[in-house]
Amino acid sequence: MSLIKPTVILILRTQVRKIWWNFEQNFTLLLSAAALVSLFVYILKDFATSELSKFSPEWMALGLRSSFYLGVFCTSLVIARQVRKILDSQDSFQSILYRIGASSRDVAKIRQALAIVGFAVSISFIYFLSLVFKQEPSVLAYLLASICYLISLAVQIRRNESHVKKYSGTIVDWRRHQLLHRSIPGKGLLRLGVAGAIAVPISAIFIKTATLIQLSSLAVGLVTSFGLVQAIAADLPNSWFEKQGGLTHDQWQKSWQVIANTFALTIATICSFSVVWLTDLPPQELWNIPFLAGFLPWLVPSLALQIDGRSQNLNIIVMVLTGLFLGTAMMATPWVAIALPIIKSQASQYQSGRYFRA
Amino acid sequence: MLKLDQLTKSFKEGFTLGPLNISIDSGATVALFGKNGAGKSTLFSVITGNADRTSGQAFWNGQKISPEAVELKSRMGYLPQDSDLPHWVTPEEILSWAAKLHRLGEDAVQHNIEIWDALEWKDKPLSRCSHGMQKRIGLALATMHNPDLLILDEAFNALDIYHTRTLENLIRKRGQCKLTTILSTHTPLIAANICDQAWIMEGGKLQDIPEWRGLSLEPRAQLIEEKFFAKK
Repeated sequence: MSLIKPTVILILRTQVRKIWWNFEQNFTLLLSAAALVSLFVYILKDFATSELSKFSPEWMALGLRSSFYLGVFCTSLVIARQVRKILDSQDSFQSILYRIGASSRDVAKIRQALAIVGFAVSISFIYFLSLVFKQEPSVLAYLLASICYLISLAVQIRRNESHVKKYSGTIVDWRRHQLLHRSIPGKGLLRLGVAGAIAVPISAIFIKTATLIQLSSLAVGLVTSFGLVQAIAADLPNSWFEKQGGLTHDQWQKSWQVIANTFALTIATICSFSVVWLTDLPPQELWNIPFLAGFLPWLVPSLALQIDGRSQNLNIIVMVLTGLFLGTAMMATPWVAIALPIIKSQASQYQSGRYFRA
Repeated sequence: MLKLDQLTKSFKEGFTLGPLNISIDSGATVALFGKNGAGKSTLFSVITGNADRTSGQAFWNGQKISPEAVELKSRMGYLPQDSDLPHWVTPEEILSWAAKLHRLGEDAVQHNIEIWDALEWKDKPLSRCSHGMQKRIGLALATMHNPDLLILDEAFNALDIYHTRTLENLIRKRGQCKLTTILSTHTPLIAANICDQAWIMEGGKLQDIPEWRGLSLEPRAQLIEEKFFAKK
């Protein structure tokens, strides 16, 4: 009998079950996040309106349009990645099919069917994004989504497993090695953060608006923090041997803090140093650039275990909310930067000992 | 009959399996011992057509075994050592799916759910089941269609005493029905209890243990210990 229909249906059911099984927890989290963001928007509505009114309508339209296409690009990549995971991971149905004796042709048809389903989902997201960014779903958007999806699906991700390094054996070196040479998503996000940090001062020459430069620095710090969050989520399941070896919570957190400090300092330095040199804006409008760029990566080790360190999506939401509140507060008043060490200390104390439960 | 004729599998890291020249009659229950990294899992992958050989040939009942030998593979059962199963599928779903692929009825699904004691958690996603439970579902998938040749790679790991006995009984019954089983294990007593032949894999080479056949339970287990520790 044909394998295609029962296999594709079963795979889709497992994906729905994956979302549904933790639905209560995920829905509660989303609802809480939405409530916090709405509260934030309500409080800062007037401030945001007055700042945004400084931009010309053309700039606003350009910003919305760029965000729309960026959203199309990102959702296509994410969906393609998910489809690849379903098709190629070790626990995929494909490996069972080969063991049971399915022919390569049947397996290829199943892969094609799943790829088509993923493509349809990717395209349908365009409609959703067009509502969010108030754009017409154009031919260009469909083309962009299609090309991104197909290329991402087709490209073989080659893992850098040929790199062999004799690490010194310290807990920091080990983690740095995993982060820089093994973890593809973490590596990608951190590189994006560094690239963004370089882009910020270059774009500052043309933009000449303090608010936008500050927001860009905040965004760069946010992306960098995502990379660290991903790395910690990948690290925790494998740390059982370190726990048995006597690694304490403090040592674990300090090892990640060393790595986070490196990235925070790098991002902050690149963003701030060049901006001061390359713009005509007065320093008092740009004093907070290093803090905005660096504070989120710096805070990651103190926030990672607050809820669930293994859930990178959860911690990404935590970092976004933290960035929204503290970042915009820092744009408004300098006193928030002074409060950062206190916030960090409190967060670290609150999650004390959770390494062993993670 | 399983026949390996100068079978070789080479890896660029330097390890080479073979050349292997062995014959195993139908109905035999064979234990394969060996250190970690000796090549047991590699051999199983080649025999079951999940990996291609570098040279030589493997035959099952006169037919060549290869990754493309789909019909032949459908008559085999294989539980690999790292039998990762899809995380969000339930036992009942995956067994029903496998039953359809093997053209078996719903009664085969229910039978396997019962013998592997999965009735209470048959609707639970496998990611929420323990490692032992997942192993039992893997065993059900490998055995539900009564394969002519069953390959079990360290199948007894993670099984509790009750289900170890279930698997032992299943393997004995297969032997009585003239169905071939080859299993690898690090527990000599289990193998001594159910296997009528034993081989040792070392450095990619297979060595038969002919003395095994004439011995009873404990002497067999002792023999394996002597074989492993003899060179030290």
